[in-house]
Amino acid sequence: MPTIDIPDKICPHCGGTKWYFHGGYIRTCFIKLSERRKAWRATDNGKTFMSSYHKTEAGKKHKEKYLNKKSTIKLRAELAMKKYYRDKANNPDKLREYKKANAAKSILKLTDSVIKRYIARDYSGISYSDVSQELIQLKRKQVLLTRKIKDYGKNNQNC
Amino acid sequence: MAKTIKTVNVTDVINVTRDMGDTLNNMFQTTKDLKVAHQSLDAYRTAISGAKAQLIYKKLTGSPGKINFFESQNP
Repeated sequence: MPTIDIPDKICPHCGGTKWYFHGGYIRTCFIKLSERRKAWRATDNGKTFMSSYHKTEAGKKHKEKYLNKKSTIKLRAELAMKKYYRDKANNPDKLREYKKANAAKSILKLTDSVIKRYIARDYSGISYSDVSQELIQLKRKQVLLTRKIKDYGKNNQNC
Repeated sequence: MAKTIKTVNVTDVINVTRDMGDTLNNMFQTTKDLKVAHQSLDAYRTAISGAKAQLIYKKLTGSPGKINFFESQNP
């Protein structure tokens, strides 16, 4: 939606000059609008809408665009670290559950660190830094194949 | 007629067994034959063992020149 600059009119809310212009009327400043939207998203209706919106095609594109935005990646990483340490101090149970869910996700995805753990646990002489990318790829192929064999066996139990 | 494959060193063995594993894996995707799948797993296992052995050999012959696991055993 377009915005206009009204230099002789200063917003009493934020002291800025940018207003939100919609349908021939000047509505409100951006900051007030974003605050209202944030408050609505925190309500029950807002949460249900957002969860269903993110499942649509437009919502997925929107999320992808936001995640790939380079200007906010560093900021989001810093906020995530602060949240982690805040949860560690105030709510260790929540953090423990989050770590468990994250570990299960990385095992499903077969990340590099999980594969390195599988390789290094058999031999005490090999450390995580010694493992090369070729070896990781080989092991990943093997693990994926064993999972497929197990799934195939589950689906065809009568054979 | 059987195909003969010549290998010079461990790297060749790793590459050959990995390729064998990949072809057998692709065959399993199409035929869904479990025997083929297990043979593919064996091929991958051989390649992985070769790569691990190469790693340990490099550690033994390189620097620092020893692995703690072998040093700590009592005679």
